[in-house]
Amino acid sequence: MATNEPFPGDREGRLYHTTGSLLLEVNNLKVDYLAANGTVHAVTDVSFSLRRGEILGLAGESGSGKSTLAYAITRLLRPPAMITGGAIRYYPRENGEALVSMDTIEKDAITEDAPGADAINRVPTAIDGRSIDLLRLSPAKLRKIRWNELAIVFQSAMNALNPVMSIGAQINDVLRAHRPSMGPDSRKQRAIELLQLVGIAPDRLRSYPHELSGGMRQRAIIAIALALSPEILILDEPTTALDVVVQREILTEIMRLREKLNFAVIFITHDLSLLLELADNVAIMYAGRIVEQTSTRDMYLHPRHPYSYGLLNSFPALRGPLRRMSGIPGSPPDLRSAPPGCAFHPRCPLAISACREALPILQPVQSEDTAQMVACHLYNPIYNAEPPTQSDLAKKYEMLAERSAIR
Amino acid sequence: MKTQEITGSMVDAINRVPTPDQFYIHVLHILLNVWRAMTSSRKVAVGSAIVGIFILVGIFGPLFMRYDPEATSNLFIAHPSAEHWLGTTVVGQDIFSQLINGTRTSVFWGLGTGLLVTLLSMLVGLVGGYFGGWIDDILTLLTNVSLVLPALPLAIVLAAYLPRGPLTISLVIIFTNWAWQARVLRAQTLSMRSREFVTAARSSGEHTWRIIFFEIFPNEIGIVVAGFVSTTIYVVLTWAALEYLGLGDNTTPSWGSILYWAQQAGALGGELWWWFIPPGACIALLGAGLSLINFGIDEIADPRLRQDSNPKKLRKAAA
Amino acid sequence: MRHILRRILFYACAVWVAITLDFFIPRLAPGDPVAALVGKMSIKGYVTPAMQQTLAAEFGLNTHDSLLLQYFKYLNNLIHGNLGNSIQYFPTPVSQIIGQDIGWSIMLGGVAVLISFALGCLFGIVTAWKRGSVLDTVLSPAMNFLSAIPYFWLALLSLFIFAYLLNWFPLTGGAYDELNVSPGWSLDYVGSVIQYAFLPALTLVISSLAGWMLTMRNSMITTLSEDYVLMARAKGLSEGRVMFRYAARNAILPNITGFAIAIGTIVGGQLLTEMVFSYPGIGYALFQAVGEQDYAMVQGVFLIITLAVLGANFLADMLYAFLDPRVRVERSA
Repeated sequence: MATNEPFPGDREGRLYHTTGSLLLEVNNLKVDYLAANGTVHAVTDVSFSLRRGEILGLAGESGSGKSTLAYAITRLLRPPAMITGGAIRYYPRENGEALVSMDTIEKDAITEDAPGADAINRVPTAIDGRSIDLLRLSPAKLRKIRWNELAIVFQSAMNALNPVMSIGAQINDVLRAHRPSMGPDSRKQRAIELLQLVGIAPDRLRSYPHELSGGMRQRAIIAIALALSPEILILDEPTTALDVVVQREILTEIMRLREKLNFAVIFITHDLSLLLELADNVAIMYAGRIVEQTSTRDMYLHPRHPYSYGLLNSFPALRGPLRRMSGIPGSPPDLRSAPPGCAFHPRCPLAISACREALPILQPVQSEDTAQMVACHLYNPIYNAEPPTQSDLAKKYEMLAERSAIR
Repeated sequence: MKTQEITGSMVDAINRVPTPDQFYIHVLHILLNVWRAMTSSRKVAVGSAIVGIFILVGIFGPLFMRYDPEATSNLFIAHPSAEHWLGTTVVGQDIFSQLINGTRTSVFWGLGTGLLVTLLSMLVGLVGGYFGGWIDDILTLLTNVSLVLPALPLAIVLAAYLPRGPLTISLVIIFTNWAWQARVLRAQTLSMRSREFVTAARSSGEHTWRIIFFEIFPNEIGIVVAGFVSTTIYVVLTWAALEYLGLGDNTTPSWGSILYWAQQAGALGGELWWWFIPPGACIALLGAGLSLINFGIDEIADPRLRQDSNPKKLRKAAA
Repeated sequence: MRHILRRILFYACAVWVAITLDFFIPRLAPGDPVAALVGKMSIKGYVTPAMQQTLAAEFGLNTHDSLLLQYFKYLNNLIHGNLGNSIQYFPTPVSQIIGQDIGWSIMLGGVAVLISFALGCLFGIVTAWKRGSVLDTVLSPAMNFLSAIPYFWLALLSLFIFAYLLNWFPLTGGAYDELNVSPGWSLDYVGSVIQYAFLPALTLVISSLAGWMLTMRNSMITTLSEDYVLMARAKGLSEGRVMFRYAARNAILPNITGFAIAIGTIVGGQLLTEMVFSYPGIGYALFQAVGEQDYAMVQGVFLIITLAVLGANFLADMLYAFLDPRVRVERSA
């Protein structure tokens, strides 16, 4: 992609939310699936942080571990999946409006921030640095956090809604479980409010899921997700099951609500183009690891990791010269026995010998902005003196395209 | 390549109607899969073994009878002994011989009737499901009505009035029990009919009956087999029940008729346990064997039902 | 609404089929039924020509009438609630005998089915929820085994063990101890009724428990892997609420159909149970009638059984439509 193309995500008045206080911190998370024919390392050593109001996009192919990561954060993994390492720290609001008071959470789940902690991108935390380790919460405490602070919107709304309950009842459920002080009238009021928030008429309160259209069901799911004004909303491929028109509506809706209610979003999708438009920051996952993590602007203007470059180039630009498309040949590795070194090296057009031997670590690119992190030896001065430029990447992928065309 | 050959191979490619040889190979494949399935699941293996034993006894058993099952003797109501392994009846007949003799009737009439019920339900289900329209409407109505009428009372009433004998009982059971499987198969056929391979077959001009039996049916064999097993369990039990109630031909030996005579002689209220326990046990065992096969088939069909192979620590750790 | 109308029409059709079957089946028997009847009755006492005439007329066995005419006379009788007179208990009307017996059948069957359904579903829900636990590993195979035992053999066995060997329950038939207790709301009477009904009810519950539990368990396991259950958990609802309101509520739907059929068997008269325990219900009445060739009784009882089953099924259909809102939408296939 030509770097003098304006970033399409730079809309009129687009706000970047990257300066809120720290909300969620994932440290070295590991998730394994224990299967009879081998342990699958679905997520390995994933670390990132989320600030209040930020939209973080998680992109990757199927099987890259992004959904597993989302489920791990919400602790919804089912056996044989197991979280085998790492910590997830959540920082509740520290002012009088906090909906979950720290007193209700047991002391042993609270970890103090160690002074001098060495996470590279640590931003000054919440006022006195008190956080909750989500992985060590007891089921009862976890239940309190759930939906109050952390809500998830599933991929298929039809499957996520109880077919024998009206949507009003499903909203009511959440309110009754978490707001014991609300009476039936105020709950009903709130339910109507929520439906109106997402653009569903109040008389649909008593409708069953099968009586609604696909788009309405997705909206209903969003309404339920926002019922308790959570701090974090996880969207797991929210529009994959919808046609493009409805897709656009739903996403606009979500963005509008985000502006209004200021929750953070973790947006999981394989559609990178969507993220470029909507997200503030993006993390690309491959074979269970984050291979690049940066702002969407930087990702668009100069993707560093060869995989990110390949992904961006997998969809054509609306304008520009005719190019031969290559895609990325090959397929993701078997996660039971990933190749040594970098998991991407068998498919990478710029692989060097170091890539076969050593595992690259997510590190800031040694150039202008420290915010762009890549896990690639090409940017590590120990292994490679000259980091590739955008035109280098372009050339290598062109060669790939030529080769695959001849065959 | 000559033009002839090209055309020939194109025609072959288009022609999807299987020849008889291909059909048999297809069936052989299915049977091989069935064998694999049978030996892979423990439940199915045990169940099949039990049923297999009964079938063998049914075929070869009478060779091992020590006494003529009908022959009376002076030894009335004798306890089990070395002479009479299961004792004797009230008229001195050897119960063990009767049991073996009855096995043949119970097992083969049971399996045979089960097979016929399955065939009838297949016919109704496939035809109704495939053709739709008024044919389907009528068949569905028949099926639903048959489902909703109480089977055992109807069977009793029918068996009471019709001439006695195993054929009557068989027909009566068939008449009262075909509907359940028919409904299941109809639903399955309906969903198959809208699939693309059927549309392809129709547009290539394949005969309707070939489509039904050679295209659609092979996909439903799993359900049909499971249905056959369930039906046979029910047939065996109902048969015994009808015989026990005295509605069969009391002279034709079967497990149920042994129980009937035991009942008549008052063995049930008294101490003649060796008379009524063995036949009942046989029925129970055969039923258990068939049930095991059924559960095994369930598990093979739906992997979620298979035994959880997770170590305990995994379950504890995953919250 | 349309759904209800369709069901009503269907049941009307089924009723007609039942009535017609009931008319024709006795006429399937070969030979002259009147002569057979007279033969039987002569054993008990002299049969006057007048009685013979009544018999012939009662069952429309007057061969002077065409079949069609007999059919309409039969329908006419039915509408007036006239089911004829029993031969065994001549001249007691069939409807009277049925009236007495059906109460016992309903009581016995009703209690047994309700207990069995409730317990079975509960076990199914719990063993599926706690799959692989000690409870599950013990209960599931045990139930598998129980469900394979043929019912009447289980009944015979329990009669033998508990009534004959242990003498805890009465060996002779009946609904209560007719010699010592008289009907009424006394403790003696209720206690006697329970004593006589306990063993039959117990065998009924044991034999059908496994069926409910296993289908519920299978259904529950499948339901638990659905996304809406996952979402319910994600919403932070209590375990109990997720288990019952989200999972079980959906998983139970297949069992409701089974429940409908089971209700049918209640009034169908638990034939085998009543046979083995000589319990004076409607099933026992049918069996005795067949044995004694009491055609009027057979016809009458069969008809009542069938009508009751149809009625019960209809009610169950309505219950299902109430529980599963998806059914109310008109479906073509």
